[in-house]
Amino acid sequence: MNDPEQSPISVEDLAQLFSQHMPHGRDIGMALDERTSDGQTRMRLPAQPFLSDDTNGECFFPGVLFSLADSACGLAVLRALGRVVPIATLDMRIDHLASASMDADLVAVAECYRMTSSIAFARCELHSGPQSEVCAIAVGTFMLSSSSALVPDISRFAGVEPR
Amino acid sequence: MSASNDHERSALQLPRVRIQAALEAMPYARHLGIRLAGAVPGDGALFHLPFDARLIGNVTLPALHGGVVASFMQIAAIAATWALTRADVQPKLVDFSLDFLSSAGPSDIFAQCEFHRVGKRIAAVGVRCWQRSSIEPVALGRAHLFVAPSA
Repeated sequence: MNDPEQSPISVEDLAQLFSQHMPHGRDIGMALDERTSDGQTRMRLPAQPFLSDDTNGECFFPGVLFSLADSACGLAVLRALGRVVPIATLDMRIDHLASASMDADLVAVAECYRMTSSIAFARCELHSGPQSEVCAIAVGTFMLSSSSALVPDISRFAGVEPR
Repeated sequence: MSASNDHERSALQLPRVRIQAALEAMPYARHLGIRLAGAVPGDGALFHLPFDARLIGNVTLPALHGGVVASFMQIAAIAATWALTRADVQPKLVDFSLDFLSSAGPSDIFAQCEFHRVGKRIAAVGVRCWQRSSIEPVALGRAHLFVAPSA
């Protein structure tokens, strides 16, 4: 698993810290689900009126799905790596198959399906509504930093003040 | 006085009033704090997202969340297309593709749209997003929007 000399914090701990303390994630209410046995990364986002696309408040704004997909894919890449390295999104594309209704939590299910020494490829399905239907599909590529010395300082996560 | 004069006047008012109304009709645009900075000669309106600490996605860099940048660009594309087409209902995003050219630092960001093609049902829109200078974009986006026909 994780080499304690290489990384003072496990990928799982970091994933939880990311989702709990990332300011934008806190702002809109993203939550990381427990790691599942199928190896996929699940994040969820409860509906709130300010996340909607119009004043009827029936559907999530598309960019909210992008936020959840970007975060879930990034965490899927970290889990696939099994060690903590800085990653950056190179690009992401999202197809909106249907409106994302707000009558249930929005759920992102992401996986990293290809990893090279410097690039990771990840994809994500977004599910919405009481039947948990697929409303969008996102595909992204991520750059892995060559420097393993840049381990994030966890005190900076802990230092984020609750809003 | 005449109907044609009224039409000309409203056409001149087009970008600002209509885009402002489009932004106000999107609760998430209001939540992020997106505003219209001004009109640029040609087809462009300049969108502005003032920096706020809650928009951060990476606290170690620090950098704005990729989803915040994406949402900002999508809102710019939807508002500009809505204002241009004068559709009765908000254009719907069909797909969106975003290249991140560099991380977006903890400061204000700006965006401008370019209409690649505006058809009866689909608009193809490019969005350029920058922080310090428009010739150094931090992200480039491409969107297809479904434009519902006006009644």
